[in-house]
Amino acid sequence: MRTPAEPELRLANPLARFALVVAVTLIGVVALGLTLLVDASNTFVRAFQPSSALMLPVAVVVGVIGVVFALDKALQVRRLERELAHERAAAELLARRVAMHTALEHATEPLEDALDDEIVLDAIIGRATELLGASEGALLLREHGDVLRVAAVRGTRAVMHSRRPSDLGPAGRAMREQRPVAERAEDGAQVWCAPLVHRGVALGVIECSTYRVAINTDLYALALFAEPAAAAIARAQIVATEREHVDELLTLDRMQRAFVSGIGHDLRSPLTALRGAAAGLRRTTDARTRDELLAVIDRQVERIASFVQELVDIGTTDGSFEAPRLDLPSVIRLLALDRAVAGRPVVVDAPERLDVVADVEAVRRMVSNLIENAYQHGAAPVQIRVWTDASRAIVTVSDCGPGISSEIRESVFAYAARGSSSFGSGHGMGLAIVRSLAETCGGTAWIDDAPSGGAAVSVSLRMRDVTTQEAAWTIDHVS
Amino acid sequence: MDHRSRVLIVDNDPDVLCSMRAIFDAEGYAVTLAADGSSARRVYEEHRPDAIILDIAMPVLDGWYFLAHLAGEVAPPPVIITALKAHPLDVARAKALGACDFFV
Repeated sequence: MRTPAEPELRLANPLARFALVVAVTLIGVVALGLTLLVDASNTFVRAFQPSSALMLPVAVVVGVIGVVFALDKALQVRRLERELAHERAAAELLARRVAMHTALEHATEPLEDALDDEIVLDAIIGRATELLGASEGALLLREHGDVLRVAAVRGTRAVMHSRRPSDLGPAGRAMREQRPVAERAEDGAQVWCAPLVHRGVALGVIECSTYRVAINTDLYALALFAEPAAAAIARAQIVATEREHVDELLTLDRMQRAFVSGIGHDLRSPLTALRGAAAGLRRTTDARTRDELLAVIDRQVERIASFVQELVDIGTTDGSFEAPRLDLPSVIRLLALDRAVAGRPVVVDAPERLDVVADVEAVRRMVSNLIENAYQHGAAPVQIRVWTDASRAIVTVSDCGPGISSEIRESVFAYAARGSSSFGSGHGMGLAIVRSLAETCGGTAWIDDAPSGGAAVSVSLRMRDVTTQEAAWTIDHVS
Repeated sequence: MDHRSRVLIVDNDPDVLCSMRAIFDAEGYAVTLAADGSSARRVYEEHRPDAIILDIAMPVLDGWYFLAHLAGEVAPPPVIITALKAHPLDVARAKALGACDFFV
C-alpha cells in the first residue's frame, strides 16, 4: 500500500523569521521617531517650544509598543504554523489509513466468495504480497505436531509443500505468540509475518518479504489482512470437510447400490436354476432325470440358504464379541478335521499352543470362509499356517491358484466386491465378513502372494500378554 | 439317425445346464451342452446345432467371444442370449452380432 506524495510543510528556521520581523519593526519605529522629531522641530515644536528631553521618552515608548505588537504577531504566526503542521500530519495519516483500507478491501474481495481451498490459499498469498508490494511470500498452515507446511507461495524463497518447525524464525514466533512480527533476514530482506487466527485458533502464518524500504504501516496492514484471510481459510476447510463427507456418503451410497444389485444378481442365478429344474420336473418322465433335477433343487436351495446366512452375518458382525482366552492351534486343527470331512482338506502348520483373545465362533467362521475362498477362487492344496509377529497371532490361509492381483486386493474386502473373471465367481462377501470379524476381535485381514504363487489371506488376532496369562493362571489356581 | 432338432446350450452353471437339458429333452430336442465359449466353439463345429442358447457371463472365454465367432459364419443358426442383467448396450451389441433374442 502506497500513499500519495504530500508537499513538505516549511517549519524550518522560525527564529530567523522572528528576528527579521523584530528588526523591520525597530527600523520602522526609529524612522517614525526621527520623522516626528524633525517635523516637530520644524513646525509644532517651534510654536510650543517643546524640549528635546520630552520627545525622546515618547519615541522610546512608541518603539516599545511597536516591538511588543510585532512579538505578539510573530508568536501568533508561529502558533498557526504549528496547528497547520498538525492538521497536515493528521490529514496525511487519515489519507494513508483510507488508502490502506481501500487496498485491504480490494485484497479481501476475492476471498469472500472463494470456497475451494487451493483457490483461497493462492488468492491470500497473491493479495498479501500485492498489498505490501512484496516480492516474496509464503502461506504456512499449521499441521499436527506444531509443524508449519508451505501451502501457497510467491517468489522463490519458500518451497511449496516444504515443512518447518514452528519454533523457528519469525513465522514460528508469529505463530506461537499470535501477533505480527517484523524482522530483518540475514540477507537483508525485510520479513513480515502475521498469524492467521480464527476464533482463537491459530491456523497458520502469512509471511511476506521484500528488499525495499519498509514503512510502519506495512505490518499493520498485513495483520489486518490476516483476519479475513484466516476466516476464508476456515470457511474453505469446512467446505472441504463437507465435500469429503458428501463424497464418503456418495461412495457409501454407490457401494450400497452395488451391494443390493449384487444380492439381486446372486439370488437370480440360483433362482434361474430352480425355475429350470421345476420346469424340467414337470416335463420329464425319466426317473434318472428327475433325480438329477431334484439334486439341482437341493443344491440351489442350499446355495440360497448359505447366501442368506451371509447376509445375516453382515448384519450381526457390527456388535462386539466376548473375547475370552482361546488356544488358537487347537481350534484350527479341529476346524481342519471338519473341513476335511466336508471335502475341503487343508494342511495345518501351527505351534503346539498359542493363546489369543478372540471369540471361538468368530475364529471358526473366519477360517472357514478363508478355506472356502481358497477352494472357490484358488486351487488345492490349501495350507493354514499359524504364526506370530511382534505382538499379534496370525492365521494365513494360502492356496496354489492364480493369486489375487495387488490392484484389487483391497477391493475384495468390500461388501460389494464381486468376483471378476480373474477372481472366479461367488457371493463376494466372504472376505468382507472375514475382515469385519477380525476387526471386531481387534485384528484385521489382508492379502499377500503365497510362496506357491497363489493367494495368501491372513487374519491377525490379539495375543494374550504374559501379565494377563499370569493373572489368569493365578486366579484359576486360587479359585 | 436322429431327426430331432439340435440345440446347443452354453452356460457355466452345471445346474442350469442340467435343468435346461431336462426341459429341451422333454420337448423333443437333441441337446448338447458346453460350459464356456471355448468348448462351445468346439461343440458347435462338431454338432452344427439348429439353435443355440448362450449365456454371456462365463469364465475362460465368454459368450461374446462365441457370438462374435458365429457372426463370422456364412449361415449361423439362431442364437438366444440368456443373461442375469440386460444392459441396453449389451442388448444392442448382441443384436448387432446376430442374436435373435435376449432373455433375462
